[in-house]
Amino acid sequence: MRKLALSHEILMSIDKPARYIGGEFNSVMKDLNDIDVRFCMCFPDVYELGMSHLGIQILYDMFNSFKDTWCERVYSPWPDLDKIMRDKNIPLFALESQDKIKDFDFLGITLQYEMCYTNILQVLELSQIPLIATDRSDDDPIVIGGGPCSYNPEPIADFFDIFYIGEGETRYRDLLDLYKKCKKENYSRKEFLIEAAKLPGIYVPSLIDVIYNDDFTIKEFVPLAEGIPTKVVKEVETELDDSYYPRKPVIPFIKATQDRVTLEIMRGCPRGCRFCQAGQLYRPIRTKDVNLLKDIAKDMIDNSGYEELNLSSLSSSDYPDLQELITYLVDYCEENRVNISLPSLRIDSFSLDVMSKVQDIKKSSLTFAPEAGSQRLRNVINKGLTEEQILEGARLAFKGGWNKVKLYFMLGLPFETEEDVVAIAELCDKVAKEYYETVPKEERNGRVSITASTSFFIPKPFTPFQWAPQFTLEDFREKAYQTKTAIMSQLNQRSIKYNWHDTDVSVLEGIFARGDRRLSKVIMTAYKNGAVFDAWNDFFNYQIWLDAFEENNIDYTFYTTRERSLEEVFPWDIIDIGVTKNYLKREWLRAKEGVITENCMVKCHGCGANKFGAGAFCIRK
Amino acid sequence: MTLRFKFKKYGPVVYIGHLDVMRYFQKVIRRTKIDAAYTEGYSPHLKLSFAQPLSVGIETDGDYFDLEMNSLPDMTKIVSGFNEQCVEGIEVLSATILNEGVQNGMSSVKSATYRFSFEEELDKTRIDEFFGLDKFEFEYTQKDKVKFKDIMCDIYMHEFVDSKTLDVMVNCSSSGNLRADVIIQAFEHFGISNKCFGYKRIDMFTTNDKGEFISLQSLGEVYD
Ligand code: SF4
Repeated sequence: MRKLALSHEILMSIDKPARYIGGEFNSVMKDLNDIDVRFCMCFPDVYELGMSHLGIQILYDMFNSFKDTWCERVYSPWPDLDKIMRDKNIPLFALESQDKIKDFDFLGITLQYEMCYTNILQVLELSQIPLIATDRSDDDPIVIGGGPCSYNPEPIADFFDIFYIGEGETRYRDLLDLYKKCKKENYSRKEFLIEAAKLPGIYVPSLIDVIYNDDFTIKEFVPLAEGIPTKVVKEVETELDDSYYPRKPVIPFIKATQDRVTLEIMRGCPRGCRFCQAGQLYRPIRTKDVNLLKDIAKDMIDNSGYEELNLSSLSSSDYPDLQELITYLVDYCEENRVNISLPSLRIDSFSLDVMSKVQDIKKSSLTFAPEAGSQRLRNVINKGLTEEQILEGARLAFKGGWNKVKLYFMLGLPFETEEDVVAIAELCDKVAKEYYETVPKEERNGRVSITASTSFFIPKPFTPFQWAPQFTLEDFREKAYQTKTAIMSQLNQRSIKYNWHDTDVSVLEGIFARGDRRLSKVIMTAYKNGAVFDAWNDFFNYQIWLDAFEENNIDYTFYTTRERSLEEVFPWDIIDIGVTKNYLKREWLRAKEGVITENCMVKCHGCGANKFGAGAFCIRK
Repeated sequence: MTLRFKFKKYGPVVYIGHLDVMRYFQKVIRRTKIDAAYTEGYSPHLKLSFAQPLSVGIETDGDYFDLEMNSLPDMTKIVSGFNEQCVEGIEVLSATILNEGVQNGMSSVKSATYRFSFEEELDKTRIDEFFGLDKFEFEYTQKDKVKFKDIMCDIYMHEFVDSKTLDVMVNCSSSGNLRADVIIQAFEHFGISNKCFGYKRIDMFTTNDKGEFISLQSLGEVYD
């Protein structure tokens, strides 16, 4: 019987104790005698969120397929337990073995969103690992970061020994082998890190010195040891079909945020929307074999008992064998009483037909993501969705019996004018009008219900908009107000509901997204002053952050509203994602002119991602 | 056609709450691929009901759920088939094909037996004296609420298992569910200082037409 790290009294005094007990179905136990490397995988947020994340499941499957490695999991303890652990000096532990993280060889932290940065410090501190990488001794675990935010890891550079850049499936085996060799030959921590930094995809921030200009822009990157590259090329899994996939996913006892199995059908997106970071980071576009997908889906459903299957990709409609796949899955799922959820599908007769089979039309809603209200601005952001396509999709859906529509927009896009904001309201009104014109009175099932949601645009590294100034908090609020007023003045305003998200967090996300190393000390200050779980509204405290910038003498507008020149060296230029800076520059200039760039399926524009030799649409060199 | 499953739960998994245990068994049932009955509609559900929720942190040797079936699987393999899909600490003990007309566990359960383990030898005379009382009214807390009530009317019998272990059968029906920790509070209140270091549920019962308590497991053909 497994022993628990926490006592009965503690477990009985905290919320959802099952977060901390491990032992879930399909979780992996191994015998320490057979193991050379202990790896703990961390999602620095609460268990229910972390357990919903596909990337960790893929890596968990991969690491545990290595005979010499045992991969376990840890998540952020909720504040109730956090306090108890600090009061009683209980070290943070991994779920499977319930052993101290401090005794592991590696602690791998996935970086999914900027607002989890203080939680990284919480996990390190509770694990009793020094927060600053260079303070760690040979006995401390090697702390590795990976995931989307590691493409600009600079704001958290001080806290990590290594950043793994790119897809995890390819280079970890080499890293573990190197680790085993160095351990056998009694290398010091630093000696190991120097060797590691020579592996492709491995970035060791402490071995790179960043030299600034007087205005705090970056002058250059200087390696601090011989043979350390100043460009780290991201890792790409070129053979997705032969790669790892969790056919036996770990099934949490408590309800995860995503309470279902997820089937990844492709990686990358051919669309090239200029605001979208994922669309650039995960190039080139790689699709999985349809028969393999059928097989994986079947296995995952059989091995999990889940009641829902979710297809995952950035743009499912672009998967070449979509009809075959979905037709098969809909049948299989119906037979096995599994619900199927199909996000990111373009609304057309095929998708409506499928949706009418798997959802209750009366309850479900259609989703469009025009992102911008006017055609002009949609051209600027290269969102290849026209008003005609939206209205046509809506008309088809209304005829099919739907009467709920959700529309997603962004505010604060580059080159946005007041007319573009008003156009959001007008587009909503046109969709409403379409309903009343399409559906005769006697067939109407009440009023049409339109929900418009806006989020605030944050310029991200490795996108054409990485040069764009971010709007201020006041601008954001003003824009939301304009949207609301414009909606209220529409003819069908009573059918339109408007939602928007709060703004403080967007400012902070913007700072970290394009931040540099100087921010590590700000994050440290904020954490010491109580910031943690910043992704949670209940815990987020903007003032702590404002104070932290002040205390460290940093003007945060440097990261947000500042104009950047085309020649500027960015903190993330140390990383090479394949897509070249020149291509992004071209796209930025085209955006300025409102010129669209066709998607990769129509034409390859030579973005640079073809160098990995795996893209479905790339011109090979 | 309904199957009644008896299961035990012990070790780390006792910290999983009742709703999550239900969700857990739904997935186990789906993984076993037995031909269970579902509700109609867009999101079909198993027709599954539990006799009585068990509080977080408590072990059981005898909890129950009923599952409606379309057709029966090979009953000689059903218990092992379930346990292949179970985690350490949750174990199916038996499956009963319920006789025609048997009410579901939730509405028919009348009592439950708990087993209390004490640190020192039990003072049997004193304990018999306690259970011999007609009435025992006192102030106790149940789920953070303070109550003042007679509990003797909800205690049905007690039995010494060994010198340090005691079984007590209490009301566990929709008309009143006496929680085991209230009995410990009552002992303290009565002046029994011997410390109880743990208790678990042993079994659950309904009554037959003679009014005798019979295990929920026994209302049909039992496979284990
Ligand atoms: S190389 Fe061409 S096809 Fe490949 S991702 Fe870049 S633009 Fe698209």
